[in-house]
Amino acid sequence: MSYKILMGALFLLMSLLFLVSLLTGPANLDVFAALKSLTGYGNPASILVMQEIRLPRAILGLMIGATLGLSGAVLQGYLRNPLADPGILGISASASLGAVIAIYTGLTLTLPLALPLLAIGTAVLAVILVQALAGQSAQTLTLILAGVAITSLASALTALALNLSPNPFAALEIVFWMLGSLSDRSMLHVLLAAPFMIIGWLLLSLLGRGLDALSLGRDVAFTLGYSPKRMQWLVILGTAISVGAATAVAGAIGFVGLVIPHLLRPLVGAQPSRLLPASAFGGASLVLAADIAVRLIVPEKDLKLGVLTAIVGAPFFLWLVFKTRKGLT
Amino acid sequence: MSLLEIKNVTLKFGESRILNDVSVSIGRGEMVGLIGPNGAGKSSLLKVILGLLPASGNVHYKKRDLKQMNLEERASLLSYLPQERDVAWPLSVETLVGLGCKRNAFSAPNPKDLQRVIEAMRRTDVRNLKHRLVDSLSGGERARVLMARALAQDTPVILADEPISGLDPAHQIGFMEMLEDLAKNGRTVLITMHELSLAARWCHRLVLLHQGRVVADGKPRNVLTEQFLAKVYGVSAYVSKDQNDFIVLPIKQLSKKDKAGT
Repeated sequence: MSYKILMGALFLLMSLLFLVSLLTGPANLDVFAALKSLTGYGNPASILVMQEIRLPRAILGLMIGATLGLSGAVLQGYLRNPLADPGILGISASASLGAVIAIYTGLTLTLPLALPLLAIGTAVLAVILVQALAGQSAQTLTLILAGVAITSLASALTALALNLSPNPFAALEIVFWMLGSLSDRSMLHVLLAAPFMIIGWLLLSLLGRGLDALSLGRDVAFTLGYSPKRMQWLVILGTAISVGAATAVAGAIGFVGLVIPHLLRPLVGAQPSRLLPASAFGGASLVLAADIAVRLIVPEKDLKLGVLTAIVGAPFFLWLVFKTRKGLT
Repeated sequence: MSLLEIKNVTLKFGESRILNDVSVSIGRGEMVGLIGPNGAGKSSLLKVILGLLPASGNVHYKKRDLKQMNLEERASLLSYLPQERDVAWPLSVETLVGLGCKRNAFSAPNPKDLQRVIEAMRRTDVRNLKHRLVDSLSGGERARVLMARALAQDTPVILADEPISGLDPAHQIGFMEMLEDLAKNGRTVLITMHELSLAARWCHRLVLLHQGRVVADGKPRNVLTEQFLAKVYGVSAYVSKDQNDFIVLPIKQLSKKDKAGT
């Protein structure tokens, strides 16, 4: 019963923040005019603002947040480790690399779909590599080291691309893009990323009961009838496709997948399957809230969303490491 | 009639043979103890039966090859209690035991599943712990709760890997009594253990493994002889001659010279 209440509350919070996100911005629109413009009535300028600027931004905030929260919860459940997160494991950095390659080579100009596809491709490689490096037991330390190694490699290759960039302005643009932001995104970005994120969610949603069984270890999960191979592929493809698509349009937004499952776990009785939808709603709420915050804190400076989540998330990560360091041997 | 038939199972890791042509046949309602020194292949045999380790040879359940069954079907026949008692998350006892039943995570459990969970918790005597979190339990309580999870799977065969290691004597005896009770009710129980006196007292039958081979298989009195204990464990032991009170007490490690003499 209390689970239903929690889910209801999280859904309400997410919807509310979605609405607030639509109503936040430099263009001074009152609530009524804004909502009217959203449906296509009113003066052309405010229709443009609502439909072409704020709506895609709010949709992307919601969907990317849900993706990050959900994939964080899945990775933590699958690796049986509360420190797993797409950012820490290097999946986001690898997706960034793919996106940078797509932008850098000019591929996106001829084929916009190359942006999410390349990001997804490099993200798939990253998840496979993390699993190979961390092994079956997925100890905290090996996991973090695997993430560090993959992030370093992806960052080095991204830096190489920037280094070789013929145009310094293009390089600067890529750097800003990599910081992670939802500003100036259009409906095209929504169309490019949304289908992939939804496919990723569907794959990840099949994992619920298997993740529950994994609480008891891989062997018991197997003897309860859950195929390790099937679960592995669902995790690899589900996280890589959804996080890859999210990163392709918004850059790397870190720590959402770490913080949200951690905060919500005690509220759902620590059951991994129940944590999945809760983390999706929670992640969406956090990203929407952070994206509202960057517009309110320093509206003239264009504070990047990824910078804000990192500033809040990194100390949280430190605290988590401190708390779990007994297990780090 | 045999329920579980292990035929010519051989397991190799590289050049070394972990299990060497092992054949054991187990009937319904039997409680069989798998004994032998560390590294004899006890845990590996359980894992081969469960399909966790690939081995040559066959394991049949009611004349049907387990390898030919899908994972779901196997999960309805065999439940497994591993040696490690770690649980990744601080679940409540009730939730943990419920993991034994396959059901949708979000819908309320159906009455039949609920009944199974309650029955499993009754048998293992953990009903009073149902709202506690797993990480707040003592070692003995945790062992019983994990057993309840395996029971909730409601399978005719239960495989347990050293279920009583690390428990105090009262919990060990309680656990063996519970397993005996399950066997009496028609479940087939196969457990590995090191506690020879307890194995002697509660198991209907013992299978002694040594270097991957079955060296003795039969009633405890015929397996736990001074000769076998010296040969396999390398210990001299006190073995009671009393018909009603069979006691085995390892006394001292034998030197190589002693072993040569036996």
